[in-house]
Amino acid sequence: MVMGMSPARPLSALALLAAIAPASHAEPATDPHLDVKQVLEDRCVVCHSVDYSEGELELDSAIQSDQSAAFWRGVLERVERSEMPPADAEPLSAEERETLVAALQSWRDEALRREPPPPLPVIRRLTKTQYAATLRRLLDVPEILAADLPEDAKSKLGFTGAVSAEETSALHIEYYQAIARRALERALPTGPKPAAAHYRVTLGDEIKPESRAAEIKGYKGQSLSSKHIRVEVLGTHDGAGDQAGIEKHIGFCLRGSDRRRYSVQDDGVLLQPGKPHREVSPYAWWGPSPNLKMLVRRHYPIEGPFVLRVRARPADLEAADGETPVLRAIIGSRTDDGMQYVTVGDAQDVTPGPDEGGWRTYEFRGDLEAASLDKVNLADKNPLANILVVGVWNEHLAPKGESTPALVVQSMELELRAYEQWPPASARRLMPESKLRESQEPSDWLAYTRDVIERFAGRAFRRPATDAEVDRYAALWQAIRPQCESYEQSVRETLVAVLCSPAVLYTGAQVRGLADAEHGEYTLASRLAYFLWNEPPDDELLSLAADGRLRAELSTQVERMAADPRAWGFVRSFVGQWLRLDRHDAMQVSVRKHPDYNRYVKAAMAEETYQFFHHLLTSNRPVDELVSADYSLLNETLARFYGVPGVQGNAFRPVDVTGQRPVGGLLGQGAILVGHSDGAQAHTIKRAVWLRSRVLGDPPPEPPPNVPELPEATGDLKKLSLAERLALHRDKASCRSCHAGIDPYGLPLEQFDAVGRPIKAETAATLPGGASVRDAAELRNYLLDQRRQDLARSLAMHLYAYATGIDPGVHDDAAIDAIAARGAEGGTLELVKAVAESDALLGLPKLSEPPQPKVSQRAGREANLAAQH
Amino acid sequence: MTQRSQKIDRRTVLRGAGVACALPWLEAMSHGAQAARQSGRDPSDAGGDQGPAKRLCFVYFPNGAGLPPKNDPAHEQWGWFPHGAGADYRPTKVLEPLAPYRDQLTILGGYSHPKSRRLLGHLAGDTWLTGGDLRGSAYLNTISADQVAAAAIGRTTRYRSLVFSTDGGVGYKSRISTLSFAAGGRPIPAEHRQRAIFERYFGGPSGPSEDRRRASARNKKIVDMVLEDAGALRRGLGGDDAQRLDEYLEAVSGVEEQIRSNERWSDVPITLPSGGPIDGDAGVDLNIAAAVDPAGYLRAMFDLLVLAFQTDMTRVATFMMAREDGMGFGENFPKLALGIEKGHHTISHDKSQGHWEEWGRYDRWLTEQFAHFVKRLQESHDQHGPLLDRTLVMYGSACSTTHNANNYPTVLAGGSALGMNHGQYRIGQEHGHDAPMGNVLLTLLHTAGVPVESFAQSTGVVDGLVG
Repeated sequence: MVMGMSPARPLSALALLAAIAPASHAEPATDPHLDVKQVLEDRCVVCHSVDYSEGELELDSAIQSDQSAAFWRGVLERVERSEMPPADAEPLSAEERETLVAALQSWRDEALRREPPPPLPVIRRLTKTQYAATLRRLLDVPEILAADLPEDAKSKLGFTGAVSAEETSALHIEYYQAIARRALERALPTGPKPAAAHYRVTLGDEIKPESRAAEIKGYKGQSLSSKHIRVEVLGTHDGAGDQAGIEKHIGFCLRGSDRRRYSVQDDGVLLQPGKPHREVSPYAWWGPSPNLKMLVRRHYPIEGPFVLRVRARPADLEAADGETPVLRAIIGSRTDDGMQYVTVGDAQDVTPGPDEGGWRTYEFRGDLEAASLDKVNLADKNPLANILVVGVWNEHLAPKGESTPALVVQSMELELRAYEQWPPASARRLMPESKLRESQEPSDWLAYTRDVIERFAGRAFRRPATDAEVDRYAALWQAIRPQCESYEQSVRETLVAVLCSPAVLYTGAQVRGLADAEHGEYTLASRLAYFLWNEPPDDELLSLAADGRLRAELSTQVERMAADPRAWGFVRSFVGQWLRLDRHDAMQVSVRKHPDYNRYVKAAMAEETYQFFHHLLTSNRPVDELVSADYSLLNETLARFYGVPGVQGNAFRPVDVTGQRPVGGLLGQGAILVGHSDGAQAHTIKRAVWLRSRVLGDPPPEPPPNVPELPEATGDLKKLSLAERLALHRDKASCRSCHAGIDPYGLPLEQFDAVGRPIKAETAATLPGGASVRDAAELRNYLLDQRRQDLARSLAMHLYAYATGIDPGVHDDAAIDAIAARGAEGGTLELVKAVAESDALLGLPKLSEPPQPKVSQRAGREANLAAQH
Repeated sequence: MTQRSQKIDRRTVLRGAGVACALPWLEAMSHGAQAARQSGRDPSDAGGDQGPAKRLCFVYFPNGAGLPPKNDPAHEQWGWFPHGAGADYRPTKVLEPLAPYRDQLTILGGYSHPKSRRLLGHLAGDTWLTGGDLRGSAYLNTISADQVAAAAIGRTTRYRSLVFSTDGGVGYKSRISTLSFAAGGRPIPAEHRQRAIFERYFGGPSGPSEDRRRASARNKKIVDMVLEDAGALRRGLGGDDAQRLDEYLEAVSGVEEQIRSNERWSDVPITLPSGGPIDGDAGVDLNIAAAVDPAGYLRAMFDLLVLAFQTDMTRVATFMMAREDGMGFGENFPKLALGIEKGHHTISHDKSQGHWEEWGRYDRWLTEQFAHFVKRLQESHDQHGPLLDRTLVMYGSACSTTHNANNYPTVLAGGSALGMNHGQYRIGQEHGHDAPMGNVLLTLLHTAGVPVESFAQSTGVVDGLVG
C-alpha cells in the first residue's frame, strides 16, 4: 500500500506532465482536458511517478501506454473508496474527484473495448458434494460413499466448483471408479436378500429376563444391570458366527450420565432433559447427561440401511406446551475410551401416543455406512472391542440441569440391513422386470441391456443418451461380458463406465447428435439445479428442457426451486463458503474461558446463519437486511446462550433481538464472531478482514512480506490491551496506511467476545473517509448509510462467482452491477434470479465443430425419458 | 498387440496436442527417466536383483518457527536454530528431541527460494518443493522435487510416490494443503484418511489371481471408454475449457498406466523385509482423528510412511503436517496437544508476555513428532540395514518467522549410506543473501540418484554435504 508521506514534488514529474497527453485515450465526456492532467499532477503523480514509484504504481508512465482495464479499475476503486489520496493528505475536492473519476472510468471503458473478454466457461466438473448428491439421486445410496474423493480445491474467493480451482488427478479418476462400483453394487445387488440382524430390547424394573444380557463396562462404564434388560433376537445376519447366545453380547450403557438424571422404572428408563457436558473429553464424547446407549458386540454388519424403532412416551402425559421432550437418535462405535457417533435423521418431539399408557413408536432410518464402522475383527477377543453403539437421549436440552420435561423409553428395536423389499427399489428401477430379460435369446438380452443403458445414461447424463452413445456402451458390455461372473455384474460394470463418463462428471459437455438448442436447454437445467439445489435437475426441469421451454420459464422455475427444500443444499454450500463458516467449524474455543459453549451451541450458531439467509431468500427480504435486520433466527439453545428470553424448543424462528443484542443481522451472528476470534478472545483484524472481504466485497491487500511485528508486550506495554497495541502498530508510518483501512472495521465488533456475547470494550473507531462510530450498531448504521451499494454488490459478486464458476474480473463488472441493482431494488430472491438469468449462466458459446442435428428416434427417446419419470 | 500400440499413440497425441505446460516436465525428465530405465528393474522380471533402494521424503510444518531476538531471555533456549555452527553447534530445547540422531542429521539455515523471498511467508509454502514463481498475478508454480524424483526413481515400485497431508486434497492455491505438484505446477491432492490409505496401498490384492486379472481387464476397457468419451468432448472445446479437460484426460491416462503397473505387480505379494505379509493393520492405529489426538494422528501417518518404505511400496513421499495461515486441523494442535489457548497461526503472531517460550514449546512438540519418524526409520530395517541409512528426509518450513520467507528452518536426516555427511549446522550464504533452497533440493535429488542438472534456480549442490 501507499504510504502517506508526501515527498517534495520532483522536477522530473513536472517535466513529464508536459508529455501527459494520452493520445490513444478517449476524452472523458465531462472533462476539460487540462483539468485531468492538473489533478493527476497535483494529487497523484507526486508519489506515483517513475521516480518515486510509490506502491510500485507509476501513473506518469502508465498514462502514456495502453494499460489494461483491470489496471484502471484498480486505480478507480482506490479513488472511489477515498483510500487515495491517503488520510494524511488533503482530500480531493468535489470537482477534482469528479474529474478524476470520470477520466478513469472512460479510460477503463476504452480499455474494455480493446480487450476481448475471456471466454465463458462451458464445462464444469461437479464438486464433491454435488457428485455425492448425484449418486444419491440416481441410485438411492448414502452420500458418505463419496467421502474418499479428494477434497475440492477452492478459488481465491473461497468457492469450490470455480473453474480456476478445478484440479483433476489420477487419484480422482481412481476414486470415481471405485465409488461408482461400490454405489452400483449397493444399488444393484446380486444374490438373495441378505439376512437382517434384528434385535429388540425391552427395559424396565420388572423385566425378569430369561437369559442374561451383557454388562459391558470398561473405563467409566455405567452399564445397566442385565436384570432390567430383555433381549429378543429376531434375526441374525450372515457370517456373525455362533448364533446362539447373542443376547450375551447386547447390553445397555449410560456412560457420561449423572445417576440422578435417569432412573429405571417399571415400564422403562426415564431420561431427564439432556444436560450438555463441558467440551472436555471424554465426557463430551459420550453424549449429554443422561444418555441411553444400546451396545451390540460383534454381531452386526457394517453396511446397508438400518432402522431403529424406539417405543417411548413423555414422562408427564399432561405437560403444557413448550414442555415437550425430544428424542434424538445416534449411531456409532465405541472407541478406546470414548465414542464416535453420527446423528440419525431428525430429532423427534415425544408427545402422548395412541397406545395405552401414551406410548408411541418413533422410527429412525439411516445407513450404516454413515457410521464409518470398522469391520468386526473376530480375532480381537477384547470384550471392549467391536462394539456398535445405538443411542438416544432427550434433546430438550437442560443447560442449567432442569429435570423436566422427561421421557420414558420402553424398548429399542434395531434392524440392521433393513431392506424393505428385495431386490431393492433402486435395482428394480435400473433393471426392471421384462420378458426380454427372461428370454434365452442373446439378441433379446442385447435389446434389454441397450434399454437399461439408455435409461440409466439418460438420467445420469441429465439429457437423453444419443444412439451412438448407447451403441458404444452396448459394445463395451459385449466386450466385458466374458470377463464377468454373471449377467448382472456385466451390466453393473457397464454402468460403472457410464458413471465415469465426462457427461456425468461435467456439466455443459456437448455431444454429437444433440442440437445446440437442445444442448443449451439441458445444460441450463443442470446449471440451475447445481446452482440452486447443489443437486442434479429433477423431472420437471428435464421435461421443460426436453420441450425447449426452460429458458422461457426461467423466472417461475427459479421461484419454484428457491421454495423447494432442496434449496437448503444451495444455502449451506453458498453461505458456508461465502461467509467462511468453515472457520467457525474449525475453531477450538477455550473451554476454560467459555465453559457453556458446547457442541449444541456451536451447531445452533452455524444454523442461525444458514436459517437467516434461507429466510431472506424464501421471503425475498431486502438485501440490506443482511446487515440491517433487527432480528435473528434462534432456537432455545442459542437464545439461552445469547440471553434472549422467551424462545422455546429446537426449531429456529425469527426473533426480534432489539435491546437484547447489540445488533441483529450478520454482524451479530455467533458463527461469524466465533470463527473470527482466536477461540478465547475477540480478534479485531480477523473480523475486520472478514467484513471488508465478504460483506463489502473489498478485501484489503495481503500483508506485505517482512511486515514489522506488533510491539513486544514488555515493560510498560504489558498493561496494554491488544487493541491498544494494535493502535501503537497503526501509528508506525509503515503500517498506518494499511491498518487505518482495516482495524476500524473490527474494533466496533469487539463489543462481542470470542463466543459472540456482548462485553464491555473500547470499540470506537474512525473509518476511512472520516466517519466515527462508537459501537457495532453505529458501524451497522454507517454501512447502511454509506456502503449500501457495496452490500448488494458484494452479495451479487459472490453469488455470481459461485453460480458460474468464474473468478470475476473487470469484464464481469457490468453484469455484476446489473445483478446488484436488480437485487437492491427487488430483494434477495430477485438478486438470485438475476444471477440465474445472467449471460454467464445462460450462455453457451458457439462450438467450433457444430454438431450434426439428428432427428431420427429423438422423439422416441424423449418419450422414453418421460415415461421413466 | 495392435491394441497396445494404438493406446500408446493416443497418449502420445494427447500429450502433444494437450498440455503445453507438460513440456518442461518432459524435458526435465528425459535424463532422469533414461537413467531409471537403464538401472531400474521391471518387476515383471521377478527374482532379479532390485538394487538397494534410495528413498526421498519431505515433511513440512507451517507458519515458520520462533526466532526470539538476541536480547530476549527466550533466545537461549527457545529459538529454533541452534547456537554456534559447524560440528560444534548447540541445539536449543526446540531441536533437542533430535539429539540422539545428531550424527545422522544436518541442520540447515540460510536457505530460501529466491523467487519467494519477497512473498508473504504463507504463500511460500506452495513453493517449498518447487521454487515456483507466485509473485505476479498468475500462479506460476512448477513441478515439485518429489515428483521429479518420482518420475525417475519411482518407476520400479508399485507407486511412484505417496502424497499425504493432515488436511487432504489441495486446499487452495496460495494456501495449499499438499506439498506435491505435477508438471505445470498443478497441485496433486494429498490423502489424509488413514484407513483409506491403508486399504488402498496395503490392503493388498484379494481374491484368486484369475478374478483379479479379469477385473483388471474390465477396468482397462472402462478406462479406455472414458478416454474416448473425453476425447470426443475435447474436440468441441477451446481455451480454458480445453485445458481443464486435458488435465482430466491426463489423469485418466495416468490411471491407465497405474492399472498396467498393478497388473505387473498383481502376483507379487506385499511383503515386509522379513519376507512375511503385513499382519492386520500392521500395528498402526487407523482410527485417530487429527481433531482429537494430534500426536497420535501424526505418528500414525509417519508409521504408514515407514510401512510404505519397508514394503518398498514407494521410494518417494511427502507429508504436510499442517496448513499455513491458521487453516485446517493443525491450527488447533497447540490447544489440543499442549493446552496453549491459541492457534498455531495466532502463536506465530503473538506478542504477549512469554510468547516466545510458547512458540518454542510448540516448535519442540513438532520436533518430537518428527523425531518419532526418524526413530522409526532407524529401528526399521530392510535387507540393507536401517531404513534411515538409505532414506533422505527433509523436515522444515518455508519461512522463518511468520511472514518472512527466508532462512527456512530445515533438518536433513538419514542417507548416510548414500553418502550424506551429517553432524553439522550448516549456514548457506551467497552474495550476502540466503543461498538458493534449490541447492538443497538439487543435492538431495542427486544423492537419491536423480541426475537433473539443476532445480529451482539452483546454483550448484551444497558444498560438503555429500561425499
